Amino acid sequence: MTNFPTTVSVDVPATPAFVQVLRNVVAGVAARLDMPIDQIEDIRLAVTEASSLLLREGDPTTLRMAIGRDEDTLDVTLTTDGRADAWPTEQVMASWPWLVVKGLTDEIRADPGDGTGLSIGFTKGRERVDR
Amino acid sequence: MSDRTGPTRSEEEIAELFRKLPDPGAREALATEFLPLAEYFARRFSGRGEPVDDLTQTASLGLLNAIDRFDPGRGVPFSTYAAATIVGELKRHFRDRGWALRVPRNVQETAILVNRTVSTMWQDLGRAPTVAEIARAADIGEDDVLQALDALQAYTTDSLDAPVGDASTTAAESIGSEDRSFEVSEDWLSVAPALRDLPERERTILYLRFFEGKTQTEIADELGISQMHVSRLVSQALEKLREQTGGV
Repeated sequence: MTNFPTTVSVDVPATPAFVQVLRNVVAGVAARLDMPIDQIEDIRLAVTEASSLLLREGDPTTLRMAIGRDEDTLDVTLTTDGRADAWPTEQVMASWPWLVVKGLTDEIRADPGDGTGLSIGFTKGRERVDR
Repeated sequence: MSDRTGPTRSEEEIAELFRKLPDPGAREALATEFLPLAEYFARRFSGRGEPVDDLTQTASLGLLNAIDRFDPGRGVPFSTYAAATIVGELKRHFRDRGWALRVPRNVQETAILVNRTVSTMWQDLGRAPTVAEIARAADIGEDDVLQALDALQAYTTDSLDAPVGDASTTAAESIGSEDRSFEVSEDWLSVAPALRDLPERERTILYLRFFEGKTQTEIADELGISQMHVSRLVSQALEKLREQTGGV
């Protein structure tokens, strides 16, 4: 794990086909953090589910994924340029994808951003190996 | 093209041989002359699970066809024509065996290797291995491991040699047999309707994974299936739910 920048970020068109690209990117980054493969899979799923929520909301055209990390934790934020009056809605927070992201990660958050878009973020720490 | 595959005769000598066809001696001389070309392409197509000898034979057949069909009047060099014919023959060879060339055989083989390595390491370590650990154990590159893991996720549950538990016992039965009481969370109740159409086993796994917070390893132990299998069933179930709700 050498010369890993603090943040990796990727912009893709806000379409389901490009979510696959984000899945692969996040898996590659997690692998470089030496995460076990089950956690990598968790992160991939979380990215997919979070994206599926974001793509449905507010007619987005661009989906951005920013991955930050410190030694043992990945912090992933997905943001679109979609607009909504309220975010996250009750409906979103009671949805299956939301619960999946919540269940797979250490912490989930959703911000309306700074008024420029909608986002869902999560952190996932490398688990202790002696379970 | 490398020197090794280049003809040793001059253009005129080769043209002369073609004029002598269908003389068997001329045909053989041409075949010998261009055999390195056939061997070259056979090697290019190797590493996809077919023995090189078979490929060389196929390529040689393509070469003979090229010799018999070549029309010197067309103004195309024979080597160009032969290369196209040989490659065509090799592609047909793979097609006949049902292997799509676009997915090289070695990706599948790597996936199987990675799958086995993961199962073994998971048992040995008592946790999921990292990509770097798998790469070291299987003696392949980390990118190959990632690619293989991706391919494994894309596979349906029965396409690899993944060990599966006793198929006659459903997940529901195995849970019931422990007389286990579900402490159903509100979260679960709110999403339960969406899960109605999933097979029992997938629903159970999703419950254990997301509402009891069990790890893949714990679920695998509980249900008597491999961790990779749990992982695939989770992906599969989530995908169905997404399709159902019109998401990604």
